[in-house]
Amino acid sequence: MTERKTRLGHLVDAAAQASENTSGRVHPATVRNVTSLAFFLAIVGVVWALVSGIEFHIALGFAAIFLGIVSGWSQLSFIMNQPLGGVGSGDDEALAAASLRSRKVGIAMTVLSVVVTIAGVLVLFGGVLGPRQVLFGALAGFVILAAVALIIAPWWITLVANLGMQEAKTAREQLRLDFTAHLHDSVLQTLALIQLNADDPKKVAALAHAQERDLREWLYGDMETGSPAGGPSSAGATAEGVSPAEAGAASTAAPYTGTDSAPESLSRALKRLVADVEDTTERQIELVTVGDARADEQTVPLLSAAREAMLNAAHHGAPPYSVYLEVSGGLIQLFVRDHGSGFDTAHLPAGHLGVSESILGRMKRNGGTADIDSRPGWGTEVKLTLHVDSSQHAGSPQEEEKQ
Amino acid sequence: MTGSIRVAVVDDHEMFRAGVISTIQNDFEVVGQAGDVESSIAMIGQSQPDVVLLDVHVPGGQGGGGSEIILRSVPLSPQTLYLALSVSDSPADVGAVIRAGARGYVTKTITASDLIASVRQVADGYAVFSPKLAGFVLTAFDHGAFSGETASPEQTGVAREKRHAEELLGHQRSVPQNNGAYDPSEIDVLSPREQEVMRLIARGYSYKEVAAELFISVKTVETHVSAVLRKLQLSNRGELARWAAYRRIV
Repeated sequence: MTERKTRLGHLVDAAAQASENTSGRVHPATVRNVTSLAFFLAIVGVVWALVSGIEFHIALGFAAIFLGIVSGWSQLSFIMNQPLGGVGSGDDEALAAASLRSRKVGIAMTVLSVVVTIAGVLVLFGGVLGPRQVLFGALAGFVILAAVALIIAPWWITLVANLGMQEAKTAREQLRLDFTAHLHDSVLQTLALIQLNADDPKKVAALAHAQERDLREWLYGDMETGSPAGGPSSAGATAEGVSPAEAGAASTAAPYTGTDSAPESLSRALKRLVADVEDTTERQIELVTVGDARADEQTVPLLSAAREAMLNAAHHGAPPYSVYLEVSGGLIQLFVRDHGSGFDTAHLPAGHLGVSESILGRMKRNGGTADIDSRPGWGTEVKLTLHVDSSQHAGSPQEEEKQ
Repeated sequence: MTGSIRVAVVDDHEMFRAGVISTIQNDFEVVGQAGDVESSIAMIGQSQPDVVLLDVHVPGGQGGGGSEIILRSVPLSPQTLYLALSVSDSPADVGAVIRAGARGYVTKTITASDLIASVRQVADGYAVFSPKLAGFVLTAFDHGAFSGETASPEQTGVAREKRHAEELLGHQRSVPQNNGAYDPSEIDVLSPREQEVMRLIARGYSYKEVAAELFISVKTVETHVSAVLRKLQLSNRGELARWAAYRRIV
């Protein structure tokens, strides 16, 4: 018996290892292997016992007990391997269904193993003792089992409860670590930078503003703006959005097309663009959007021109800076306003490529218009308009924010 | 007129409250301050301020924050006007206080001189519109849609909206101009002029610049803005209704 048990242990270990090493759905086969192996061993044992002259019912009893214990133990590797097998198979629903099924199978197997083991014991002793005595013996056995179960119960319950508490604690700790990591990477770093730049009020204001924007996004959702970490919506990414190649052709420096290729709304693209200009120029720009459209290759030149206008405003104008986007039907209007001293639009300095080429020329080439209104003491306003296919008219930004 | 405006400050952040008070105390008479809903209502009832600078998120009460303070203070101090101060510019928060009766909102990053000017504007009976609020109004009132296009599918809603508007009116004191003489069907649309004004404000124009742009006086701009604010508070259309329902104000 002891010899068999060690062999059994090896078997279980080997089976567990096998299913651990091979990925995918191997565990049902493994359990079947273990069971058939056990059956084979049991038959071999019975044959060996009969050959050695041991009584049949004793051999049969031991074989049944052995089978019962093996099938009970096979649960161990089964359960332990369950999550491993499920990882590769994809969505949660299938995983949950599979784990439910395996739990049902597990219960059935346990009941079966108990029944087989008890039957084995009865067969074993049934040959030696009379039926009455077997009955009394069985009763005594049950009473002892029940008593032991009652004695062990508190310890068992404590163990399970502790496990649950441990899990909850781990989850809490994980959450805390996530928060700590985020705050460390963002707020603490910014505070350190602010202390280092304490004598540069403009820099401090810019840092604080950028951090505020980040934290706001982190706290109030809207994950895909700003952070390159990629929000949940990037899962269904298609090639429909702004492709980096096109963006590169349209503008030499247009980071808003950055990393993600998911289709996104124009207001979101503009939001990110404004954030980027705020960071590079250390200015604060007020962005207001009304209506929305899809950001695609049609709107790339618009955003590039808007970026140029914002950079001009930040470099040559004065605060407050405002950017206003309105999409109505197929008409996109974008205004960039500053309150600087203005400049003479009729006499652009030679080599002033920024305005004439990057804004006026770009909009004209792409079927849009650009008007620059600049007055001394009033500031400058760049107005960009573009007609797009009105079927792309998307929901309002507020609707998106609510989600 | 300077110094005669009596101002109260409501904010649960003590440091911020102290900062605001030290910013405005040379220009206004600060008559009270509080940090939660219950004490704010008591303070407003007792000190009867002209203007309350009101944080949107204030703890206590039934969890309604700034809007709860406004709604519950109106019977105690009917002539008091409210200017919302918010660190958040989420439409749900801002929409709620505006619906409750605030005369405008400014973000907490506002400069001292702008804050003082805004308080004065509110005390004079005018609304304070930031570009964001103007954008929100344009979105809420279905930007660019004129009465002819949008009224028809919502005819059935008009009667209900009128009732809602009347219910809301019960909570509100009368505002210096626009003595509630609105045709309810007009509440849900902005006039073309009002749209122009909103659009210019959203583009970053000051009231003065808007006035110059449209060849009207600053007073007229302020009147238009106040009219829009009133519509915003009374209207029950889509966006607004959802915010209001979300915040359980209506």
